[in-house]
Amino acid sequence: MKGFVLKSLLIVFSAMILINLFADSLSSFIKDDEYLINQHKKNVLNGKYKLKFDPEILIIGDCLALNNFPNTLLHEKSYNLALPGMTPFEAYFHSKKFIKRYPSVKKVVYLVSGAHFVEQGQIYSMSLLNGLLDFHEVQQLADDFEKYNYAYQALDYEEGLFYNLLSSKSRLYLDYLYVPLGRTFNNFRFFKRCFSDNCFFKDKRDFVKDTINGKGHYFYEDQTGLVGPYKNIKRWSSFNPQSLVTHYFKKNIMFFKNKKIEVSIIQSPISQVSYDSLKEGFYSDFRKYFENIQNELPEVYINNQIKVYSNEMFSTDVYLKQEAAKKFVLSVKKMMNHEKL
Amino acid sequence: MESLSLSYILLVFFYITLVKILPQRLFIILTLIFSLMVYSLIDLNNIFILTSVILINYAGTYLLAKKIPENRIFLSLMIVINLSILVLIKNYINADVSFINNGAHSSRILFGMGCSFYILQCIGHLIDVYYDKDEFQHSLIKYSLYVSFFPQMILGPIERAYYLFDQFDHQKFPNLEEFKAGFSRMVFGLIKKVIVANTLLTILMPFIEAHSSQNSLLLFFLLPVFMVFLYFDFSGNIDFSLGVARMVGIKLNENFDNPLLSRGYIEFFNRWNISFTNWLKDYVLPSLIKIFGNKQFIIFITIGLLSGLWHQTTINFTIWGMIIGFLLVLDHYYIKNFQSDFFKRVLSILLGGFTVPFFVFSEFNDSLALYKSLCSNLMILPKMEGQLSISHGISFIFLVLVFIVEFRGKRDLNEFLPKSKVFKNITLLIVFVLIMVFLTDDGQINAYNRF
Repeated sequence: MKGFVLKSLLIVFSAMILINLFADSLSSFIKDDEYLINQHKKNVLNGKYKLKFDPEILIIGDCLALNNFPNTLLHEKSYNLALPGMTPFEAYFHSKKFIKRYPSVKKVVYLVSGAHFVEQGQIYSMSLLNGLLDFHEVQQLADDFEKYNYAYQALDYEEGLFYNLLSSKSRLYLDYLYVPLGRTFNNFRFFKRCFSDNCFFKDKRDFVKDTINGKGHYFYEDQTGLVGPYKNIKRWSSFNPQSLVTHYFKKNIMFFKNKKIEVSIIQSPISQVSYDSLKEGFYSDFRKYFENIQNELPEVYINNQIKVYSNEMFSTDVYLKQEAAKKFVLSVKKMMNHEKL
Repeated sequence: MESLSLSYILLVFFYITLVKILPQRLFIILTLIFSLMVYSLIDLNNIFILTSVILINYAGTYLLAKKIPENRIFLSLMIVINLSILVLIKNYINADVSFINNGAHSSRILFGMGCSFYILQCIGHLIDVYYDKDEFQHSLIKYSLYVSFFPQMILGPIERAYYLFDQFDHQKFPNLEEFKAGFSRMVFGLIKKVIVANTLLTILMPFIEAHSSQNSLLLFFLLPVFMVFLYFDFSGNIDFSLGVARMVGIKLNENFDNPLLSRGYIEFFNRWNISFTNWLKDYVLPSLIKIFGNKQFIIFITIGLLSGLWHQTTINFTIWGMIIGFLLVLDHYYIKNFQSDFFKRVLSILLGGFTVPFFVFSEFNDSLALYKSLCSNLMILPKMEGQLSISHGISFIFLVLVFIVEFRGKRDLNEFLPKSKVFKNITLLIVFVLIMVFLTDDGQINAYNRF
């Protein structure tokens, strides 16, 4: 019996190792564009990839900022550090690392989207699984979660029954124990996607080249057309971010202020159909929230108007078409010139 | 958590390890705790419905065993209570659950999952105790485990109480050969469900969803293929359950006997979901014969109707059941007289495919529209929906392999494997890699979870 069990385990582990080896050594064929862009930006942050210019404008935000903001139209010496799922937590840590490496930055455009303020602030699981945040950063976060009486949660499995009994610190250590397994499961998913989409035969290194050429900006490829409102928008009953999210958001702005960097906070555009689905009161709460921040930090430029674009300008529920994205950047440029920012 | 997901499988292995290392006397209580835990992880509310069913039926069986004078009325009352719970869950709580609902596959029912199976087990036991074919089980723990034994609770097979009680009492962790056989059966089930059925569905659904613009003959061919999907989906789950149970020393009954090779629809009915068919034969058919005598036409229609209503108490499943009844009649009076076995085999799958529109849609009009497309789209050219991928190729290879293995009367992973030790291990490695990769598919659907 022991022999059979050991043999079975050996085969299972060999299978897992084999998948990981394949996925990691042929990552540009097997993994998806989002992973490759994550890795590229991780290399930018840790200095493995050096930008060939001294950036003067930094763009931060989530996947909407990544897709909807072709920043070279704003300024030749700008860099779009936006990453999928970037919450104010990640934004803080990544901005710090970037400014440390590139002190030439004079302006920051922070593109906010409701999602990471409203959907109670947890870090994006990929930040942990892909090593975008290091252990100390996540530890600091876990401490802050505890301090603010929030339950730290970064990975999906944590919704389990017994997980609620654990402290933020214990969850953090569990997360790090889980990381190798989580990465393996992700690699399984990449393989499955390749089996389904035949993307084994497609070298995705071009996506990274596009990101390098676009100075951090990247257009998502599989755009199917707007079919309805943003899928999570119906859950948003009011705009009421956690105090810890606000704390990190302000901390980030204060960090820029201390470095004498100008900050503009701009709302990513949403489609008419998404806007119509917003519950009553959301818009006024949103405005009030940013007005309060503006009152506290008068030197920051905050545009708290929700930008509503027509449905035809969207290629998915949230991503703008290329032409619409250009229009958005040019409108921001105009606004910034007008406001003399 | 969904059944046959990666987390479910890891939990199952954790359970098997516990059964191996803990003393044998703890088997029943361990398995009961585990079963309740698995069921509540699927949906916490399930635990209330399951414990209510257990307690009501335990009390009912106890009173029936006492032989009170009004026993017959009391038995009827217990059956009505059980059926009411079933109807309540199916008709009100999960009324909108269908395979295709508003254009999307949705077979994800979590609340009350598997109630059709375990409630029939309870009714069967009540009737057995009433007719002295079985004894009242004094131990509430054992009775609870009989109803909730997790490998078979969600999708069956529907087991007899005496068969399981006896095994629970004499459970022993199996020897190496038995353990290997169980493991092999479990992996065989995973191949059928995870690699073949799930992929087959991704090919079929776009065609069924876009039926109005699809060629009639192509649809006519695809509906029997849907039967193949249903077979791989359901029997893959059952193979997994049988394998897991065997790995802890419990033998469950077979639920399929190569139904796709049946010569006629009655044979198909008898070889598909055998435990349910046997349940109908044992507990319903005698009463029907008593009432209708030799009016076989009515008996067949009633049996078909009841099996439809067991699935769901909707208009679609009522009609589906009636059609099944008519097909049984058709087979009994006409098809069985045909000489060619090949013709009878093809016909039984085609007839099975003919019932699919009522099975997949929740709305009567949607089913009707599919039948209309079957008749009126003859002049439309067939067109490809979606693109063929590597998964489809892998799935097709395994589909053929499984067919060959099952045609030879086996249901065993070993039948796939080459004799040479090195090649055997390499094949095993490939199979494990594929299972792990295909298991990560987020859109997994169990076609029978909704029943």
